[in-house]
Amino acid sequence: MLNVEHIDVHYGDLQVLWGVSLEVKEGEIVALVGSNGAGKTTLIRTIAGLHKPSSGKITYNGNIMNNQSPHKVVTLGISMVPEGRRLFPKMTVLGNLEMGAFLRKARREKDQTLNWVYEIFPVLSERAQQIAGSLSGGEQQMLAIARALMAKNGFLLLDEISLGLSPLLVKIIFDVIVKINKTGISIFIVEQNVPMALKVADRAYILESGHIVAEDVAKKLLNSDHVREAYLGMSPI
Amino acid sequence: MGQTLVYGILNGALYGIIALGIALVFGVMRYLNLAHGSFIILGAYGSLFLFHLGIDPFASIPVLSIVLFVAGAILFKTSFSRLTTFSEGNKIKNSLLLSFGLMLLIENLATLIWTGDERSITPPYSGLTFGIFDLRIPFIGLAGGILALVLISFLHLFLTRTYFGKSIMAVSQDHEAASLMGINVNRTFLISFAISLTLASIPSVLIGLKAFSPTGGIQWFNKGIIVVMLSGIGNIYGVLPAGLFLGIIEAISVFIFGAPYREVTGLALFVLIMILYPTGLFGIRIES
Repeated sequence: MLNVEHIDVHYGDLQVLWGVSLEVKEGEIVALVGSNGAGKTTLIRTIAGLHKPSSGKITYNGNIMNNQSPHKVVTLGISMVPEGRRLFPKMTVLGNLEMGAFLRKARREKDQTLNWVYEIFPVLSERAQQIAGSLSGGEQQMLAIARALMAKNGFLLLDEISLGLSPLLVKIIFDVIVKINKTGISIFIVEQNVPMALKVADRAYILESGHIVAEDVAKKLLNSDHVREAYLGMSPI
Repeated sequence: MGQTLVYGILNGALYGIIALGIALVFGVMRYLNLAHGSFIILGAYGSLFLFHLGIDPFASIPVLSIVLFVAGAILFKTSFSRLTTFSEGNKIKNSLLLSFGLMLLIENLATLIWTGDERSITPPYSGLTFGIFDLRIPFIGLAGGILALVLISFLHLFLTRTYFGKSIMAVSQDHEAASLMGINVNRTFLISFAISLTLASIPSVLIGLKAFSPTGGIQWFNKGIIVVMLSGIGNIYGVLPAGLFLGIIEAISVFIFGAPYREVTGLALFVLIMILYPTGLFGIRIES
């Protein structure tokens, strides 16, 4: 479904990603974990079209995605929940959701999708007329995810959705992510919350200093010595 | 006093429409278009030209609108679009530089073509007034006030009711997030810029009916930018009340201190309000 092949990404002269390759198959949840500054966000933003790779190739369902502008990437079927939510703060909750359904095909099914999204996040239907900037952090994150779902795309990129949320909310949000995945939406997660991401994901990649250093079934990575030592602060088994 | 207020309100409505075009471009893409006033003056020359062909100045508004829309689109595509990837501070600075050059270019071209003489469009009804109680209300000024109301209502409906209008609001609040919704941000920028110049068509005619010369644009820009600041940056709905406020204050100052101090009072008041209410009179603060 989504294939990233040997991409290099630079910020000016500084190289951030080095020959990164990964793959997300239809119906999978794939996690990319790693510490701060490893290049996780750069990678997910490159897939979304917000950065251009200097070499390598990104394909989605056969379409070449590198060098596409972000709005084109959405049109081709990939939606993103950006880091820090990035809601339209002065618009209402409903207004934000409507913007999520901006694509022509999504606009036609807007009311249906809206009902579906309200079913997933009932709190949003209660807050429909409230200004997005006035929501609590957890509600804002729910709205950001709901807004991305409004595009009716088969692929979701999630960038650090646990950031700044209480452990309980993180659990609630990740339960929802699994539920969304069950409806047939493939998901690529970038997370600093390594245990949570590895619990919900089918497969995972570890990114360190711009290189993919490990790739495996998520459960196996969760129990590997490297992950236990470097990310969970535990001693090897 | 009542008569002074009438003129203040009518002038204020004009300030409001001028500010609307400046506020739209500033709100959506953080550009300060210093040449906005010069385009108003160009529009006034256009309206004068059409008047000599026998077209009523108010009837020339649709023609001017179309020409200004196309001019705006071309201008954005060829020059202003190059600044879209800059940081917010650099956008403001570079758009100021670019539009300052553009303003000089327009002023000098206009002087070359039409000389520096002051012109005015003079249809038979210019200067006509009607009376309510003991107030004299000029027809042209009243038409301007009504047009301002209609224009702002239309823009409001466009921005809050249509999908494209809402996408303009989304881009103004977070253009990167907007692009992730599938909104073509560059096209939205282009159309907003073109609409901003289209909004110059009504002040073109209203100022054309007063008096104008090639270098008059910057004065009108000054009024517009003061109103934008008063209304609160990025707040399109505040411009009409803020414009009326400035118009009325100016009129009262003329009544009290005399005409020479009109500009001084307006500016002094502006500084005072900026100190007391830095987010503008009608600025909305959102707790994040």
